Amino acid sequence: MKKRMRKLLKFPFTFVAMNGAAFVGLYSFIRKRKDVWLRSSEDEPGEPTTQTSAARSEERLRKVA
Amino acid sequence: MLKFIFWLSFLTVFYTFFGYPMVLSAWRALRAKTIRKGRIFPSVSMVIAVYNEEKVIERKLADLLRLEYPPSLLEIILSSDGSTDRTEERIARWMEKSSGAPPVRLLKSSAHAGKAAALNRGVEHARGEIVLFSDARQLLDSISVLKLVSNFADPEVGAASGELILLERKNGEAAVGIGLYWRYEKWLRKMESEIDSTLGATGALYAIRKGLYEPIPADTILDDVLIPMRIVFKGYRAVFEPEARAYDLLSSRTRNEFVRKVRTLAGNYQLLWEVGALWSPKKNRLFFQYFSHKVARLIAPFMLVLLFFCNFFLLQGFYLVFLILQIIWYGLALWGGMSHEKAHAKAA
Repeated sequence: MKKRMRKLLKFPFTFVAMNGAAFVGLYSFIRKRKDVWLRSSEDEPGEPTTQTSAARSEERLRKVA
Repeated sequence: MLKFIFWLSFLTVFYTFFGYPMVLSAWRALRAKTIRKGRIFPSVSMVIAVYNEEKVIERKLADLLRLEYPPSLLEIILSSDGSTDRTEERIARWMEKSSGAPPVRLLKSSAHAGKAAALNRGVEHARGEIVLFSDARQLLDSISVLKLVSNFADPEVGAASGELILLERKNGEAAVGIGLYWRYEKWLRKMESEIDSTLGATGALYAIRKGLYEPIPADTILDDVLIPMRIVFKGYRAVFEPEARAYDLLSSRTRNEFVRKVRTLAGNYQLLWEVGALWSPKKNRLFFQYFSHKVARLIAPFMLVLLFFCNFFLLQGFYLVFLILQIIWYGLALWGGMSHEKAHAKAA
């Protein structure tokens, strides 16, 4: 129940966070911060663990990793 | 005056998140364009810009060997942007061990000049008719190249974007909200493609006709928007191919997705500032879509703030109810953020 509640609360939180990113994005642009490599290195690589529609890829990811 | 600001803000926010998708749905129903795909086998150069990817580069190379595309028609170009870890060493070691089909080339650079510079260098050395861009981190579906290039059977198509599938991680608390947000984005891209063209590609997997490539400025943040948009300016279509899939993992925390979003939005500001053609309906036939999708997303957050604060001065009837709803919404967001942090701290 608690987990489900937390999941539901993610919607308003994500919406606000993603909109808040516009302010920080503008600030980054004005300050000329250009972290172009951010996308490929900010998160550690790992394996997916939950059910998704892309089961085939999941299996491939595991095999290759 | 306050009521005018209230309704202007409200309508802008409504149009950005609900109105524009409704317009796209109707537009698609009335005038969807088909893509004349075909089973073709042009020569393909896959360009991957890399910077300190030692953790993932061997996995990526092994994955590329599984692609269902004639190895004689495929070349892989790894353009290192002055990597300081063991990325280049691992690529060289892998090249020694590999059979040479498809051929893999490593382009080294002593300077860390940025991803755009690495891409420019990679394309300069590409020999294929089609240049396919991918990132080091994501894995590709084995049929992704085949599916992507099938779009180039249509002479109107100048660029084709694959689909990035984000898989969930264990304890991925961010997954619910971000997953929905991402699906919503892809739904818009798909509709835009069916009408004419997408407003950019997914950096994880997209392809272009090599002859249409123009080197991009070295400080470009969103190469995956600028390159396809330049192709659109030339009169070609940039289409979305949902069967060409790249896979990545959802960030385990909303904070990481927030950082990605900041980068994307900073990139959008940069494009608007530096690419004059985007502002011209004559040069940019996607002017309406670009402003409704990309620019409105930059404006909407400011409108949300305006909507919230001007509502404090309008406290009668409907306006009071709306203010209460807004307070509840932001309260839930705050609660969601706090419980997310708490859960993450507990897991750590």
